[in-house]
Order: sequence, then C-alpha cells, then structure tokens
Amino acid sequence: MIRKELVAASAEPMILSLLSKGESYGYAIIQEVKARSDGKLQWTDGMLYPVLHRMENKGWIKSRWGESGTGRKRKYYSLKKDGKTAMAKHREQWSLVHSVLAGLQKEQYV
Amino acid sequence: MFDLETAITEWRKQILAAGIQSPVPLDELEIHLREEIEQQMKSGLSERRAYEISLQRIGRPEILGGEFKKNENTVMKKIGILATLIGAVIILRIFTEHPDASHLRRNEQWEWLITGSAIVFFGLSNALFYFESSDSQNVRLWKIIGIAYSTFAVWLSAVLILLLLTVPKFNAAVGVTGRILVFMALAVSILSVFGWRKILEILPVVRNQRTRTMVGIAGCFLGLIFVTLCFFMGPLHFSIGIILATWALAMASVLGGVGYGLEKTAQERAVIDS
Repeated sequence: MIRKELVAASAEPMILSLLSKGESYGYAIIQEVKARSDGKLQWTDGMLYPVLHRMENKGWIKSRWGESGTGRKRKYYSLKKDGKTAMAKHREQWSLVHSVLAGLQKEQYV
Repeated sequence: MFDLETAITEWRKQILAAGIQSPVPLDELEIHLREEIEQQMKSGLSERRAYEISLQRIGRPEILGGEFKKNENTVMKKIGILATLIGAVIILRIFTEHPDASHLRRNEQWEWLITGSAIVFFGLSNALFYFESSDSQNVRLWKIIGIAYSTFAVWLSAVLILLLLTVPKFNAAVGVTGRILVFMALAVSILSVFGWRKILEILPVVRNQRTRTMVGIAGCFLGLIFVTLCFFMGPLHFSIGIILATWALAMASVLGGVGYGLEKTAQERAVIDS
C-alpha cells in the first residue's frame, strides 16, 4: 500500500491527467485510480471532493450537473485551459522526481 | 430491521453536524455513497453490509468536514490579509507624514486613521474568524457584508467609548445611566458578531431569493441611515449624541447581518429538505 502522504501529493496531478481524457465524475475517478494502480493507490473516497472543489476554485477544472443513463444525478468535471497548464507543470515536476530516483537506483546496482 | 433510507438520512445529519452545510458537496457525497452501496450489493453483499463498507470507504464525517473547511477558509483568509495590508498601509502613511504637513491636515488625518483602522479590523476579523464551510456564493457575499458592518460598528463604538473615558470634557458630560447605555450598545454590537448562530435560529426561512436580497439590502440601508442621522444629531448634545450614535451602530451591526442570516437560514433549510 502506498503511504497516505504520497497519495495526497499525487491527487491533483492524477485527477488532472484523468480529466485530460474527457469529463468524469467523482465515483468514476476513484474507480479508475483503483483499477490503474491494482488497488494499491487507495483514496478515502470522500476526500476526493474537497480536492475537486479546491481545483475548481483555482480555475483548473469546471463542473456541471448531469444525469447518468439510469437517471441518477451526477456532477461531471472537465479540464479547463489553466488545468492543462497546471497538469504540464505537475508532470514536469513528477518526471524530475522520477528521473532523480531512477538515476540513484541505477547507480546502486551498476 | 435495517432501513437504508433511514441510515442515509442519519448519515446526512452527521455530515451536516461536521460542518458540510452546503447542498452541493453534501449531494455529491450522498450520490457517491449510493453508487458505492449499489456496487457492493451487486457483488452479493446485504444492504446493511454494503452500507457499512461504503460508509468506511467514504470516510469519517468530521475528517471530511475539516477538509472542506480548509478550502473555504483559504478564500476568507486571503480577503482578510489583503484588507489588513491595505488598512496598515493607510495608517503607516499617516504616521510617516512630515510633522508640518500633519499639523496642517489634522482633521483629514483623523479621517484616514479611522478608515485605515476600520479596514485593518475588518481584515483581521476575516482572517481570524472560523467560518462555516461550503457556503454558497450568496452566503459568502452576505457574510462579508455582515462582518464589515459588525466590525465597523464595534470598532467605532470602541473609539467613542475611548473618547468618553479619556477626554475630561466628554467624561464629565455623560452620567452613569448614559455610560451604562453606551456599554450596552457596544455589547449588542459585539453580540451581533459572536452570537450570530443564535440569531439564525430565530430568523424565518425566506425561500424567495429576490425577497432575501431585497430585505438584506434594506437592512444595510436602514443601518446606514440610523448611523448617519445619529452622527448628525451628535454634535447638538454630546451626552445624548454618544448614546444615540453607539445604539445606531449596534442597530447597523444587527441590520447589516440580516442578509447573511436570511441566506444562511435558507441554505440550511434547503439542505434539510433535500
């Protein structure tokens, strides 16, 4: 299981990346994260919403109320222009962290 | 016998008690909970077990409430810090003025000092007060107006009382009854800041948005009219003037908060009804 500090830090870039594929809603975002990480990246489901609202306040994403195929009310989120910029910055930073760690790891085994 | 709808209603109450009182996040969380329950039941679990697991997954109400509060407080703090800085700059500008210039423009300086201090007071109130989370845009707007009225009233009443206590001429002019009335007015102004929760309980639920806005605006205007009239009457007789002025400020403080009270009451009612 991944530590909660890392889960929290990765929440925004993860949501931005998922929304870059198209609009989505809270439950689907959680399910997709679980599926992509084989259940190792576990969010407390409810904690997603304050993050989504914070990102909306920042102007990164926007939301609209819609309905599912079964008529259930859902709030859909989609990426805004500022969100794409924020995503690029996040990716740059995570790539840097990843490359530093990968480099260090490689040196240990050479 | 387990009843899912009763259980969800109970859970909503817990979420409300945790401070998530705006319909939007509450509805979103409930929709999420219902989807999770549905998925759990599809996998063969009983209604009760599915509810229990879904509840665990969604998280404890007090923790969720805390997370939503962080979002709201950031906005209020930013407004508060900005106002405090503007007020501080105005005050600093007066104190750093050349002595000759300050002598020539003493009246004007007082006006700027009062304005600067009031802005600082308003800013600090916004930055330091702990507000409810997840308010709608209207509630936020009226909250800021309410705070502005209340803090200005408390601050100006305090200035008047300070003058009353420190300037011998004013001190001699106001008797014991007058002083009690002035302090009572200040107490009402302070209560309007700290006791707003109690006031909410007695306010009616006005469902029409337009009516709420009109009543809120009328309250603000009435407050201003009270203060203006009493400050014009003040110079005629200091003793009566200071009593009237502090009470006018107390009334303005209460009336300025009416808009916020009506919006907040309507929002809470909408959450309970939904």
